[in-house]
Amino acid sequence: MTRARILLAAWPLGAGLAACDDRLPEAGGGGEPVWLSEPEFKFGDALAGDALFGIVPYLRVSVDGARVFVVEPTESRVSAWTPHGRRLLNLGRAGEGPGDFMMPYRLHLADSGFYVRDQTRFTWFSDDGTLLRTVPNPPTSVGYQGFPVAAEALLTDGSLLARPRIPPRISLGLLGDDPIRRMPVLRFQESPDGWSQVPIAWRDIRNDDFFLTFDDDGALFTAQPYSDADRYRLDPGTGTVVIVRNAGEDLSPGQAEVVEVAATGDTVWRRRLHLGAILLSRERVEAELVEFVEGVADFAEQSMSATPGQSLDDQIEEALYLPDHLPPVRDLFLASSGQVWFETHEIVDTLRVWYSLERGDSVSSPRRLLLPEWFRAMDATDTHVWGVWDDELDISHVVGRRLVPPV
Amino acid sequence: MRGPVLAETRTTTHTPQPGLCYPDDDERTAVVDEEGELTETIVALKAGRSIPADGSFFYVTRGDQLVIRRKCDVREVARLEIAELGASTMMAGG
Repeated sequence: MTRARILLAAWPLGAGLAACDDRLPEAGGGGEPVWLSEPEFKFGDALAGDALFGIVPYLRVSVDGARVFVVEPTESRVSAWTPHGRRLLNLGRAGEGPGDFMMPYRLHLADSGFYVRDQTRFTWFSDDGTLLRTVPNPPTSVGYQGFPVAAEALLTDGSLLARPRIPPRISLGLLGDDPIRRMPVLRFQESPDGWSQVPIAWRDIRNDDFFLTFDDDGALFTAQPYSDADRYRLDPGTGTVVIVRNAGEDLSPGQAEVVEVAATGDTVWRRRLHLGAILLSRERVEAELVEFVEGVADFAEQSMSATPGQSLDDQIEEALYLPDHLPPVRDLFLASSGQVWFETHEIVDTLRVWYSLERGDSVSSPRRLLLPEWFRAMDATDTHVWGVWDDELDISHVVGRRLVPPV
Repeated sequence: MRGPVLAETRTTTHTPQPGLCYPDDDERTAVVDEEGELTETIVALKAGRSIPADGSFFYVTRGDQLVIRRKCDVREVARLEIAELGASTMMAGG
């Protein structure tokens, strides 16, 4: 018997009843047109070119689809490629000198040129890869309630959008203080008088953290697998933040709300989405959380001393957040095409259900797409979706799949 | 399947590390400096100003009160009534 099965021996009766049919009658996806994708581009195995990647957590594609930018933090490298895998640019090395990177992790394509975000600064390059300038992180004194901040986006006016970096022990209220339920997206701006900050948006972070505490004062923190906390992405080009609300008293099961907020704090787009209410079934949790539960248990048994009187399985079960319905949106990305793409928890056979929607659109139904589960989608043009496939050796391959409209 | 395995999520541990509170050789000097910094922190919060992220303290809320804690050992060092603070101090979304 697996740990997940042990864990769910005392699963609530209501959830168990849903196991036979985990979709409510009004769920989305029934009969609506479905887009598929087919393989067209793949590079990264060094056989058909000089592409051989390490771990690729992030990539971006130019609007015309002619250039694919690949960010490799562990290699301190950023490269640009044609869709067929011919290298156009190869930038960076580990270091702090001009053009060097310290664990780069984001890239923003502007109308002219692009910047690379690493741990210490933003580095601007021209389209041909010429180093233009660097913008350092704000001084370490700049923060939020005494905590440091992570500047995540550099806007065209030089201001920064940032998030507070608060340890989970604090944000969860484990010291006896109030838990922090909402976290701001902060805008920092430098002036002759110093740095000023203002919150432009708030995101609900409840149910985002899984944690176990142990009697030796140690603790384990990771992400809740079925978190319904808000998801968000920043767009340095428009200077906006797109937030997806997954839960709230005003939202019914399967319903999400997308809110786009400008750097001024003004809401520029608000849209309700009905992506389908799906009950979180016992079978689903058992199938999906085997690795999660095993991983937590292994880590805890090796690293911590368990709390007397309570088994580790009981502690894990108590710590898991298992809502009645799956959160509608699991993750999202802002595509170069101007759309926002929503990843859901819904699986059809071996395909993951996604939705996409033009930003600012208040009328059209979101486009429903099915993508392979192994495919980590990260950007899209009007014709292709781009992402990464990790092979059995954890080598990342860049993949471009042609979007196929409904027949 | 790309499931929610630990390798894809952040996992951290925290154990208080005694000694980090007083990195100076002269512990008494550190204590005096910290008292001065705490006074400055309280003055800043009452005036509605932000406190530095590279200082010794952070603050959170507990009901109607604001709790100031030391970063090194998270020990509570002061409490203030939120109603008495400057408006911009309390941005927290608690």
